[in-house]
Formats: sequence, C-alpha cells, structure tokens
Amino acid sequence: MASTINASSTANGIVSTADASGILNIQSNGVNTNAQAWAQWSYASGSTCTVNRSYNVSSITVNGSTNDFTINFTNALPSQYYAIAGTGGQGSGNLNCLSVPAQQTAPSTTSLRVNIVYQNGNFAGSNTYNSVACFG
Amino acid sequence: MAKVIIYTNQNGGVSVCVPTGELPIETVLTKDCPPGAIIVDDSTLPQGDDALFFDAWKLDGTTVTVDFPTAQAHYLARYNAAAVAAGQTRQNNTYAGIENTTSDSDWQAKVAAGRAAIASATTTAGLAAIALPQSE
Repeated sequence: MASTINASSTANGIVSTADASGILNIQSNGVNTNAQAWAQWSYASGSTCTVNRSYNVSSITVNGSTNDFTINFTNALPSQYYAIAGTGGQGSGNLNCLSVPAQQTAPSTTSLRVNIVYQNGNFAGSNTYNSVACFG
Repeated sequence: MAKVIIYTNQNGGVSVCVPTGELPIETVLTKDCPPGAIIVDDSTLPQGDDALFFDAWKLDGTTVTVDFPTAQAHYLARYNAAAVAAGQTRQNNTYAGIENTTSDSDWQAKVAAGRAAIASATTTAGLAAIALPQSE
C-alpha cells in the first residue's frame, strides 16, 4: 500500500492525513469520516469467491457454503467500534442482506466476519454484488 | 489458475482464503490464516459436483476431498428442510381451498423415495441428481 502522506487543514476542521501504513484518514475534529476499508466481491457457490475491488483488505476467506465470509484487513483499523455498511448481493427472487457478526465473532481491528442471508434469516445462495465498508 | 490458501476450520471443514493482491500471498498466509494453512492452486480443489458439497470438504495433507458421509448428511438435512417448506405450502393451499396437483399420499411417497435415494447414493453426482422436494 502507498505511504504518501498528504495533509491539509481547513477552517472547518477537516484534515486529510495518512498514517505510516498509508491509510488515508479524512478527519473532522479528530474523528475519521471516511471508509477505513472496503471490498466488493461475488460468490458463485462452494468456495468460488472473486474479490472484484477492495481497499485495505488483504483477503476474503470463505468459511463454508452458508455465505460465511471473513474480511481480513491489510492494516489494522483504529478501533473495533467501526460502523459497517454493505450489501448482500443479488439473489434469485430473494432479498439478500448483510448480517454482522457471523458465528458470534465480534468485529476486530484486523478482521470482520459477515454472513449474507435472506430476509428470513436463512443463508443465501450464490450472489454477485456483495460489499462491505467500514467507517470510523 | 489462481493461488488460494486453505486450512481446516473450527467446524472441521475447509476454509478458502482468497488474497486481494494488496499483499503477497505468503504475507497473507502468515497474517490472515492459522498455522498449518497452505497455498494451493484453486484448480486442485474439488470441482464439478464435488464443489457443490463445500461443507463436506476435508483437508488431508495437501489434498482436499469430499467426505461423502458428511455430504450425505448435509444433503439429507437440506432435503428435509425443503420438504418441510413444501409441506407447509401444500398445507396452506389446503386451508386456502387451493387444490394441490399431487395427492398427499403420492407426495409423501415421492418425498420418502427421495430420502431413500439419498441414503443409497454413493457419489456426489448421485446426490446432486436428487431433486429437492417442492410443493405440487
């Protein structure tokens, strides 16, 4: 990951910095406002997972055919109390949702375990447009 | 073919870690995976019908195979869940005054035959060929 550090300060308190690892932090009064990590991936079936694009994500682990994924961060996040946003992909006639945490595994600074589930809570099947973004 | 990292997970199955390319796979191996994880070419993983039974995969040394009794048990559980869902739909139809196309006794016999076929199957192809129960 690039380690270029650009810093600027404005009158409204917005500061753009990057730490030694190269993670860009756009801060407002000391609070990070941008995504610290994100990924978009597709899942066909079995173990077939394709990570299409990502930022600060070193790998995605498929833990089973129950749409159980671990997102591993390249550089640790500042805190385990980050906000998580995401999509559960495209199902066949079902509403798919991102569910956190998977397997009662609490989010950590180094990884995040998620499930993709149907609206009734059952595990979803193959889906194309899974994504997650972590803020904070 | 892409390189992935595999290891035996906490459920006794196989997890497949897909690097994003931000870090060398050797770094991902040590950073994101437990001791004993190995790097393999994804073309060496079970393919075809064997790939459908990801939760029954078993890592033995450097080879991943399908544990057939586990695959059989998982498919039976999936079959039974589908039978329950289909049965509920049939029951709802009855209450709503909508005639099911197959009589209860014929439908039950068909479901039982499928269950027997799962018990007598000897390959994943044989399992995959057994259709899950549907409301008729």
